[in-house]
Amino acid sequence: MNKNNKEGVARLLQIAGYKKKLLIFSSLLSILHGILNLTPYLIIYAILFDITEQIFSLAKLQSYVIYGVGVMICSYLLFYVSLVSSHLAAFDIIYDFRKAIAQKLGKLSLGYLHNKQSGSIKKILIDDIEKLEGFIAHNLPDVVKSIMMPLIILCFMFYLDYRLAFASLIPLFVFLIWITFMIKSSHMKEIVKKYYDSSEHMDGVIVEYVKAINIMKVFNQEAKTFENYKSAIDSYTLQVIYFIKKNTPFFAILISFISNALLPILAIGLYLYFTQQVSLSTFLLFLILGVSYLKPILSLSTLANNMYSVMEGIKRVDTILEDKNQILDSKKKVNLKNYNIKFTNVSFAYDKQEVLKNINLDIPQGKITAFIGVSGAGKSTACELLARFYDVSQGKIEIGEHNIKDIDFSQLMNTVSYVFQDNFMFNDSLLNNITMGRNITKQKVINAAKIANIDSYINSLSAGYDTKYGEDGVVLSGGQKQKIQLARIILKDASIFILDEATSFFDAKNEYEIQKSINKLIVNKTVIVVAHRLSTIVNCDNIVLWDNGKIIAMGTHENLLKNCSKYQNMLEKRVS
Amino acid sequence: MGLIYNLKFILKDNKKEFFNMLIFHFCHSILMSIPTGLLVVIIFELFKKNPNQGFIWNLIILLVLLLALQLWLSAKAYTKASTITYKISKNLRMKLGNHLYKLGLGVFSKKNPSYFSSLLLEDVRSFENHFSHGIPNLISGFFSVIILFLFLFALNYKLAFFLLLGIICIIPFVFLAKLIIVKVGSKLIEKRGQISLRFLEYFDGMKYLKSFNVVDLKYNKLDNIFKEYKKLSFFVEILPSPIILVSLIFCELAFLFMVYNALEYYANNELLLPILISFLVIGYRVYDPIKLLMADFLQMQHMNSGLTRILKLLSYETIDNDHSGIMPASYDIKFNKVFFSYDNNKVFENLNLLFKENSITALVGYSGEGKSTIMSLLAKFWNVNKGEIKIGNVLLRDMSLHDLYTQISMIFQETYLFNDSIYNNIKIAKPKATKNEILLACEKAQCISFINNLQEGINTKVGEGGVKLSGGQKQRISIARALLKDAPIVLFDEATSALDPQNEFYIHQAMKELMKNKTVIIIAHKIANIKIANKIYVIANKKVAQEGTYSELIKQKGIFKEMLEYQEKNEGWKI
Ligand SMILES: Nc1ncnc2c1ncn2[C@@H]1O[C@H](COP(=O)(O)OP(=O)(O)OP(=O)(O)O)[C@@H](O)[C@H]1O
Ligand SMILES: Nc1ncnc2c1ncn2[C@@H]1O[C@H](COP(=O)(O)OP(=O)(O)OP(=O)(O)O)[C@@H](O)[C@H]1O
Ligand SMILES: [Mg+2]
Ligand SMILES: [Mg+2]
Repeated sequence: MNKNNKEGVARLLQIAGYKKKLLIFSSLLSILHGILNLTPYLIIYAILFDITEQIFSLAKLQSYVIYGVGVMICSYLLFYVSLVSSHLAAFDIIYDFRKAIAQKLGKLSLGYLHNKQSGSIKKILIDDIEKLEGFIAHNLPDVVKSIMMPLIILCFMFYLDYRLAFASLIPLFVFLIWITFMIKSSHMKEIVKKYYDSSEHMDGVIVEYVKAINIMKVFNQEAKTFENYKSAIDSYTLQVIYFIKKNTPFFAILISFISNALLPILAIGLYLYFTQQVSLSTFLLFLILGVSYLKPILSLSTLANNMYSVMEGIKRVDTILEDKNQILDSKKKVNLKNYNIKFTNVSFAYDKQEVLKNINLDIPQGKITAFIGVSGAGKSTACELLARFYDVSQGKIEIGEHNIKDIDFSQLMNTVSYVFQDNFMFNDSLLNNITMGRNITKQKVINAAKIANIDSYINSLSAGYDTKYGEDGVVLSGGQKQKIQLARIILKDASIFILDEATSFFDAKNEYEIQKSINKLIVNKTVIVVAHRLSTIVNCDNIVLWDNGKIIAMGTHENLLKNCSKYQNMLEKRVS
Repeated sequence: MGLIYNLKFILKDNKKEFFNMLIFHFCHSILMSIPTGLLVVIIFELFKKNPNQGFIWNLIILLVLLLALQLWLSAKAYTKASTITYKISKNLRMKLGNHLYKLGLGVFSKKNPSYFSSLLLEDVRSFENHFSHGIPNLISGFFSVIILFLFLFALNYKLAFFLLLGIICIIPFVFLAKLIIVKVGSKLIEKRGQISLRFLEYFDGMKYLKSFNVVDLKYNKLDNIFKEYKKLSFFVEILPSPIILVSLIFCELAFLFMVYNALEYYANNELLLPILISFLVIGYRVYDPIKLLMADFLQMQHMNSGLTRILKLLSYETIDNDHSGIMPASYDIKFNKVFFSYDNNKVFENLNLLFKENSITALVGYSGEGKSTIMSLLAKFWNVNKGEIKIGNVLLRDMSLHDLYTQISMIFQETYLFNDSIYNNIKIAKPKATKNEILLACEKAQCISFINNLQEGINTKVGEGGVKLSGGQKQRISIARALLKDAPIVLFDEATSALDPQNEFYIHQAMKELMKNKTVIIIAHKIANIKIANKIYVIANKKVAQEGTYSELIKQKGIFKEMLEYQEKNEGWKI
């Protein structure tokens, strides 16, 4: 799907080029079909000629008709083959694009994804790409046909009578002028862009509206009152109606004119006939042929209408495919001697503002390190940097004395287990939610679930581990979801554990029991616990106190209690 | 459901405009057919011994005038058709949105959210695409065919009948093609829904997929669906097309058959030359509209599958009613013998609760016992199976959603923010709020300091779901939102779970202040957070296990005490 900076029509042709052979084959057949489809006209001409020249012979003409039947059947067969091959090409290309987008999204950094709305990207993936079907499978062969056919017919017509041939060209000229005018005057390009923007926005908002329907409810935000929803739809409709007002009349006139463009030939033909410059049969033939060559051209006008829209869609696809926001993967497996983590002079900014400021930190293996501090201080960010969801702006992070940038990305991911602050469940069986789709024996899964204290609940469900989550299945409570997250990483059993508010929805009993069993599990591992609940962290080996992107103190609970006024303050100023 | 039925439903509110548009298209198709008629007249004149040239030229002038009229009408008619299409689609999207709001959450747990968004997006879009072109073409095609045939029958009924024969022959084929399209097409739509579901999941869960190194696994699943979709799309196009092509061949054959017979009649002197010529010249043109008609009719089937889904959703029963204006006299809330289950998962059996106004009631219990469910029931996301819930003297089920929600303010266990500015996210709680009110709510919820630190302050966009903020920041915004609403009933589900102790402390101060004259229900696992409650319910085993004040409960043997002990064990030191 490489594009080499091509844009617009050139880009579309380039895309078609991915399936050059099929499309050329399809176009050739389509032209052949067009030519064979002239047979009835030729028969009509033969009849007219014979009659007006008074050499009428029933048997001969009827045999023409019989031949005609055979030819027409062949012609449509060819057409079918042409359709099949152009669709093969189209759907292959569409599929390749979808694949490329999905693959690319897997490689882009999270920062990129966070700046997008899922609904908008979904629209690009599903709707915008689908437009290629019309272009490649229908328009393209049609265009070839509509360029070739008139040429063939016109040659024939010029051979018969050049004046009438010119007359029949008039609608074509009108068509070309009109369409150039239409494209110029209606600022198609800008309008289509605006139209796309507004419809992408609408898609984003609608997807969100549906996702958060319970919040919408409680805050009394019906579609008609929710400002975002209403205005997104309003502005979309406004944009479309503007587009229609600008564009549709031109288009409608064109179609109407082309489907009924007898007039020039009729007038000029009559004049020539009355002045005895053409024969009646030629004149009548032109009446039929002279308009028929315009039919394929009609499809050109649909193309003109669609093309900008297809181009705009492809542009959006291309911006995704070409985004450079990728995490660079060294792809080098390294031999990690130990799992000590070291932050050296690490600074980081999501946008411009620095969120972490010159952080230096050692997190030793075999110990539990706790991150605490004011909300928004940068605790989660530090963890995410460690998992390379983002790359540091300055400084470096090392695991076992290797800069994480030099470690093969999937090795790094296998080394680091991360429970996130938010819970995400997939629409899949509970089993697959715990294994994350990997192939793992059920016994291991059950063991992990037992440690996370969720096994008995899962067993109480009628389908047990095969119970589906979400659609047509169960929904879990906040605490249950957190248990699933825990089971996931227990199963993964990596060397580094990051638990970001992993137990915030647990009741004390669950917390106690789970902590007890996890403690056995994490012997000799590197563990980072981010928590606000003091109960979760008091017993940790090292507590790191964060504030506003900096580390302001470190030590054990007793240590900090003695030496750190901020820490003391925190314990005093709390709900008790 | 039938196309006509669905269209009737969709057009309910725009009947007048629709018929108005129909008239324009009707006139347009007449004007499109007149030249053909005049052509016949001209041909007849030409075959006379002495054609009247003046008469013919007059006809040409008439044709020019009619052409102008035709073009004008066409511009009008098509613009109208497109405009009305988008008016309807706008209505549909609003209607669907409003309807979703009124549905119980039960519907949402049966289907994934992406199912509904794809209804609102792709199905409505398919309506937009097909309706605006399809309907006008169907109408023009239909009338043109009728008018042309009227001409032809007037000229020579036998020959016209041969042509008609072609059309009659194709009817069964068209319906066969329709059947196939409906069948394969609905599978296609289903697959598209799957793509949308799987893709959204892939997108939203990317962080998780990456960290478990399973991006490829999930991608492969998605890829399989893409592949299946590709195959299906191909079949949808390619399976019905032989049938369509066969019917096109029938048209050609019928024409040739007509020519064959016409020649014979002519040879036998049963047919006048001008009539033969006329049939040769215009006979072939009758099939042009037919071909279009057929294509559009079949295209409409795709649209129709979408419409059927839309109508089905709109027919789901809502949990709303239109008893507006029933307001409770007091805000005591009572659960009386409530039974509730999610599908077959029984959550409550005979639950009795009383939340007094001007007081704080806390719900505690082990994870998964149904605390959040109590709030969902009170917010009427679900209907109870048995028993009743009353606010003051009014049954919850008699209240309209709108009335109910003006009285409830709620913080969910899981925070969701919209991809909009912080300001607008808070404002939805009270659309008429002034900037000062919003800032005040931010201050109470301890948002001011971090908001001021953001580059664009309160106008910072938070990303979808609030991804660009930290967990605690998101939660504080949702607190600000709930505070701004200032409703008489306040539901806080783990409202401060993501907050550091200091922020939690200040927010608790603010809450205490706020809750003086409200009915407040809080859920919290940290026992310290519920000490302020005037009453505590311990939920276990599908009903209330213990109730009382904090000091009463710590003296009783039971779950509450057990929880407290565990907490002390966890902390390893006494408070
Ligand atoms: N994706 C993002 N884009 C831009 N800014 C972000 C993003 N994620 C976090 N931030 C900002 O970075 C800062 C640190 O956030 P972080 O999530 O690391 O805080 P935290 O210490 O984990 O807080 P909490 O305890 O509330 O979870 C915050 O000010 C937040 O607004
Ligand atoms: N939408 C739903 N559909 C089906 N079952 C559900 C749904 N929501 C919750 N449940 C189930 O109902 C039970 C009660 O859930 P609820 O969320 O009320 O628990 P909770 O007491 O709030 O727990 P937690 O403290 O973990 O938040 C759980 O077993 C849960 O799996
Ligand atoms: Mg965090
Ligand atoms: Mg809950």
